[in-house]
Amino acid sequence: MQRRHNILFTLLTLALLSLLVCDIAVGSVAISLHEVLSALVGGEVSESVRSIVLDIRLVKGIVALLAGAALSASGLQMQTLFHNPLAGPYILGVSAGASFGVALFLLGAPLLGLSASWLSVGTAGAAWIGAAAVLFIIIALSRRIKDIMVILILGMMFSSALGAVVEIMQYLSDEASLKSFVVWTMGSLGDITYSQLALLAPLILAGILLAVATVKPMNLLLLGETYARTSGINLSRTRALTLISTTLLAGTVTAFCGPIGFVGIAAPHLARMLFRSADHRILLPASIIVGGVMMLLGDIISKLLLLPINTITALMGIPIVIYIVTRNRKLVQ
Amino acid sequence: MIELDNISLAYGSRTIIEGGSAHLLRGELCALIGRNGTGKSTLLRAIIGHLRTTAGTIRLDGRDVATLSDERKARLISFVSTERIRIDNLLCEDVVATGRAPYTNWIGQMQDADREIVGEALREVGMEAFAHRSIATLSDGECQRIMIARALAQQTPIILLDEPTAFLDIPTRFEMCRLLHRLAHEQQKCILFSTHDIDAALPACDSTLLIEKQGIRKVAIEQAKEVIASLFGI
Repeated sequence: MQRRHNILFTLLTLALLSLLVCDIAVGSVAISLHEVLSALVGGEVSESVRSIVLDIRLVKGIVALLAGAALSASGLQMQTLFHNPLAGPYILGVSAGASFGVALFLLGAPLLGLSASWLSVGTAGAAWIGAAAVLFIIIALSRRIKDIMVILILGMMFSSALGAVVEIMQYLSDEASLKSFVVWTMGSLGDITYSQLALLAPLILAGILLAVATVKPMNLLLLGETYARTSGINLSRTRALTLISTTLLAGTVTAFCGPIGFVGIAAPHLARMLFRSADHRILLPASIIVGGVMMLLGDIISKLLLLPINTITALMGIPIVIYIVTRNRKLVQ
Repeated sequence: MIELDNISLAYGSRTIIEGGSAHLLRGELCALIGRNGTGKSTLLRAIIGHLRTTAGTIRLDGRDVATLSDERKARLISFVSTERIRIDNLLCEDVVATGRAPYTNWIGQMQDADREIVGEALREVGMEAFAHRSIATLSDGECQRIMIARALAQQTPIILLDEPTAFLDIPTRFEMCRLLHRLAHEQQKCILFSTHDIDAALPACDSTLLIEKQGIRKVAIEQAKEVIASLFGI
């Protein structure tokens, strides 16, 4: 088993790196793999190629990788926390909260008269605040509510209610704001600069560190909450840490890239299937790498077909989810 | 080891037990018997500290359960629930290993001593051959044994089991009760289990705890059969 895991980790890391290089090569201006590699290692290439590779596409590639990793780590945590194989990073309304924040901001933006660059920063900020607000309400409620299923239902209802409010706002908004909002909901990895990456990367890293810190309670939660508690796990602290981690991971990705569906649900399942393990010490790094691979693959396809990333990840992730459901075997208690 | 001192319990607004007292000792196997809805599971939940008593005190090894942290309790009392564990890719050995959680570090790293304890626990319940099998492939009786091994690996002086014989066939029920008897006596543990299975339980037990009309009554095994018969009108 150990050997299988080592081989898989090596192969997946190699796949991740090669996909990153391919992702940089693909775009409106085609750049050969050879040129990409030379630019990355500081070899001889033309100034324009170097600039495209290092200033634009490398950031995009890294963002894709981080987004996939973050969503999958969060999805794994949610699946274990809620004992539900169909749970994902958005199950508690992260994307609904973010959408609400963005809708509010985009509708208000014309009134504030913001410039285009402020518009993108403001959109990300509004999305993050919206997502975090929803999760903090749920964290606050979860300290009072014992039954995790009630929390799940509250999260889903809350998110539907926000969705309805967002629809009212769309209905009332003017054409230009409506279009920017719809484009945001389709997801994009493209508008991120190095200075935004400097904000995104540490937030995601913090979320992943929190996820690492909770692997032991997550392993115990597989057997159900009663067993976890009688094994000495502080349940409310574990829940709070996990939800904060999801705020940092899913909230941040959604803020910068828009809602990106299905990667967070599908990647942990792929990791379980490949590694044949239920141990979060294996599954967490495995989900992170598989998520990065899926997202890079999605980004490459989306660039080749000139389609929004969200549609590609949905079409990639849904068959995996259907396979899991029809296989009908219990993954968590 | 388990001391119920004039306790009252409620489930929502409904009073389950009012002013019940009993005392269970080390090396004692005790069956918790009562009709459906009388509050057997509620009492077990109160003893593991997941439900507050509305009055009175529950003491484990002399300490008030309400004042103990989950971490502290995990070294005093282990629990085997009725839930069936069916998880893909989860090996029996790893399930038993979760019993070591109170003793391992932040990431749950097993030491050689922990692995030895896990092996010993599997041997105690006669499941060593299943160590590398997935828990999802086991029968109910086998699964129950693994969960008991898990409780043994936790090395607590007290073990609580919620209807350990519920899904088992008749020979396995008797076997399960004999196993609990042996563990209580050989390892000097205080074991309390709820059951409806009087035929299998009584021959193995040292005492019974009866719940009736919101009261708790500890009955010595010699009188248990008569008292139960008159109580249930059978």
